[in-house]
Amino acid sequence: MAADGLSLLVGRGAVVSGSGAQERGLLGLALLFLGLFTLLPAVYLAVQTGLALVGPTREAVWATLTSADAWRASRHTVEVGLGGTLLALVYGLVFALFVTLTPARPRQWLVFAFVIQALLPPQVVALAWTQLWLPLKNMMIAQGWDSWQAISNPLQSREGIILLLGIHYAPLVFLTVRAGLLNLSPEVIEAARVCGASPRTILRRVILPLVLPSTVAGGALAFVSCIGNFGIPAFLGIPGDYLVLPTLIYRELSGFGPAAIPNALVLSAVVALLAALGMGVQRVFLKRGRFDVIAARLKVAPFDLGRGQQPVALVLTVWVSLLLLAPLLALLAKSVSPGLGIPLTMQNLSLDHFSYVLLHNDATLRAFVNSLSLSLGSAVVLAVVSLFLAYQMEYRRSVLLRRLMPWIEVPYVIPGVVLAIAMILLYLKPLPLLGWSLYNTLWIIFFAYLARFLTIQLRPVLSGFMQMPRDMLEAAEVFGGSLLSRMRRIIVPLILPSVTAGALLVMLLSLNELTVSALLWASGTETLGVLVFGLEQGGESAAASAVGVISILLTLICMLLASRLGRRLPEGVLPWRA
Amino acid sequence: MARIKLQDVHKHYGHGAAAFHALRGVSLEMPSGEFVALLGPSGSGKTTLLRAVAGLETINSGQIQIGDDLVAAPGRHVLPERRNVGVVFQSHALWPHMTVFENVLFPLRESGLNEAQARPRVMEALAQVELQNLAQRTPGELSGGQKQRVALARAMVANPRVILFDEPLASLDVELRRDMMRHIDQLCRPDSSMMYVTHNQEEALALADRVVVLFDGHIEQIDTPERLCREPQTERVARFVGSGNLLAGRRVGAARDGLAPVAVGDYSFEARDASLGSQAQVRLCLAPTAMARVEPGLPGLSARVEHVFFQGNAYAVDAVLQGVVAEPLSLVLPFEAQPRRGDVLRLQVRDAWVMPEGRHNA
Repeated sequence: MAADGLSLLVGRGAVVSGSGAQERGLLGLALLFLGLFTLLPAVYLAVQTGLALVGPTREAVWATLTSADAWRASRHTVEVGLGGTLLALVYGLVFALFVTLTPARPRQWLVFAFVIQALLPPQVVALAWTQLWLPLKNMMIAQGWDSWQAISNPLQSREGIILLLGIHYAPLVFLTVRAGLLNLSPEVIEAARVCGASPRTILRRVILPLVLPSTVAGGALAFVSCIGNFGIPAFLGIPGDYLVLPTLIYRELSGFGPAAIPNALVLSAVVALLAALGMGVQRVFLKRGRFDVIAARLKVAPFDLGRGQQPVALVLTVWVSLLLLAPLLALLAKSVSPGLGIPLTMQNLSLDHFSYVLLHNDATLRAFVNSLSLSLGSAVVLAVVSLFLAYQMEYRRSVLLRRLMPWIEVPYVIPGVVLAIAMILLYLKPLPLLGWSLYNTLWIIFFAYLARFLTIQLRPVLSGFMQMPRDMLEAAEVFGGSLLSRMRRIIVPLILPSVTAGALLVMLLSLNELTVSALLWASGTETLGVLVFGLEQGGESAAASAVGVISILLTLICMLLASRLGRRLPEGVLPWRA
Repeated sequence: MARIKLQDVHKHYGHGAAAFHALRGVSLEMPSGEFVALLGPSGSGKTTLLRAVAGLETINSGQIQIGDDLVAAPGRHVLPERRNVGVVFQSHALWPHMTVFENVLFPLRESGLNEAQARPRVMEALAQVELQNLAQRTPGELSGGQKQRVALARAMVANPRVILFDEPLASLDVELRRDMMRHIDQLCRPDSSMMYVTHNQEEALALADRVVVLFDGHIEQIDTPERLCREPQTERVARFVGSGNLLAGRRVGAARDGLAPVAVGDYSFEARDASLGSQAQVRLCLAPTAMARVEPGLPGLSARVEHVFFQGNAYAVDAVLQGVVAEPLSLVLPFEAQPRRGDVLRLQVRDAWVMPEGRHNA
């Protein structure tokens, strides 16, 4: 039938002809958005990489690719990638098993304190950890341990990077494993119980094999995130000249400007290749992780560590609290410290650094305005786009859009440097017809955020749609109402909590974003992440700490607002809720 | 209200060998004001047919006309919101963020009325389902039956050309079902066309002017409820609609005045016969209530009782015929019959129907 090509677009049960112009027009817009912002950068990057490898710049490019610097940075990337992944895997898996399978208390705090690590800006966390070192060192020296004079910050090393990456990305493993565990039917465990298996046997023979695929998937995701992370190796690696690929690319680009683009391009292709490997593993295992045993869901914790339960819970509570609060307190202390060399007491707290960054420095003020506009702008645009995309995917079951779904995730999962390079390539030259370039404007960062965070906004909206009985939308359709009217009066009111939660997550992540903007910013378009990095590199640790404290407050505000939506959200939208 | 006309409607999901054919050439004509029930087992295509009329599904070929408008044909699909139909969904599908009043108001407002103009019509519709006092409640505060009545008011408020019911009683318990059936029955006016999907024959027979029986995506029989029960045209209809018993028999004389003398084993009786056929071998349809227990010595069929289910005022009985090869009979016997498991019953046939020839199981 002639309509088949179109029904591939709009799915079955949808408009085929006549009066569906509005719906088709909006579908076209959604596809245009996806094509321009999500798919085009990836395709363009691949093409340009190929051209760079065979084009006129090929000799310089091959030289870069085989240079000692590139080899070393690649080796470092794999080192911290594997190290961070291993740590995240073990830590996340153990924590997920304990919190989900035993009556762990205080569960809500345990989950929150553990998961928030992934939401805090990594560059601020790295800054906070380094602030932890100096007071400790001074204390030891004051105690007469003179040998500590010679010790440099142990976190500024490969091991330090691995430690922080592990803590930062363990929640990714935790969340996938926990989702896998919660999807297990209690009968699976009960059946093993009635067969007389001990908890240890059940764990080894039943539970672990069942959650192994989701564990591997979570680990693969952690690996991709580790090799793409810029903030942590930037703060902890650059001082000791321990460069990974993202920091090497940053150095090339900030040192040589657009001339370094071909070199940066092939280096980012190496990162992209490593990431693709990780994403392939993740996809394969995520599929295997879906078992059809979700008739009933695991509600109560089936195991108990007996006499060990309380002590273990206590130790874990203290541990996650310490890991979260100690560096943040050090950061806070630094931000209110009176000045170099003067010891901090309750009497001499100073808000000078805050007033400096908020009131007296145009550049920092501009960064706040930039980051807030970027995050608000992307949240609003993505909220609208995701509403229409989710409508087509879930309600109209558009085959094409559903097939594109994995690609929508790519700009978020790929290392930020790769996305940033793709954006530079796309927008460096003047736009066709318009004649001006987006390079060095806020727009290039905005477009990068639209690509990067679409999946963050789309996922909660999709689960909101899935939760909504289909009948309700069909009723709206039958009783009149154009698509826009249905959107406004039926769909949006019903799905608003999910849309808002998604928008808040987008705001949170874009406020904290550094990797992409580090490569895309120019004078006048600094973001908060760039600001922290720049201040710290310029030796203004206290001011950097003040900005860091403010970023963390903004993060907490976003989380708090999202939490207030509470029960009206589909399960799993807010990762920090137990 | 308008005439509805379906011509050779086909609908399949998927392509090639894996395709599932939900509708295989359905043709149907409903005059204005008729109440038609679509009856069939699950997977028979009845819901697909209803959704195709509503515009919630596209069709692959054939055409659908509502009144004078061609709403679906190859290359043409009028959107649901422009078909001016009302639907009562199985799960009521009320919008939880709106009050009862706002739910019923919605179709009117979408048709261009403002709230002041629409208010009297909304209240009138709510009065018809006796819910005018609950207009300001939200759906969450209503019982299941009340929710379904709101859905009914919403479906009829804008005077749609046809009201479509998709198993509206399936999620209600028995008592509420009867109540809801009264409300639906009350809506029936000479000017209202209704299409009602159900797998429950009781509802279909009780409410409809005509019943359409669907199997495997095509229409097996269209008839009034009475004729459907008394004169099933195929064995599937006989079994599905009246739980009729099918027996092999033979003619033992010429038919007269629509009655033919027939025999099963050595017992002969009269059966209604419209087939004008002359074949000696016939299939007979005996309704569960068409057989009565008589004294053992009298002429009749002998059957041994296998299962007895007491039903308050009668017994449902499964019994195996003796001396005749046939499927177990299902009978409904009055309280006085007092059947017990293992009894051998003497059964006299009070009514039987000769199945039309050549239209056995398709």
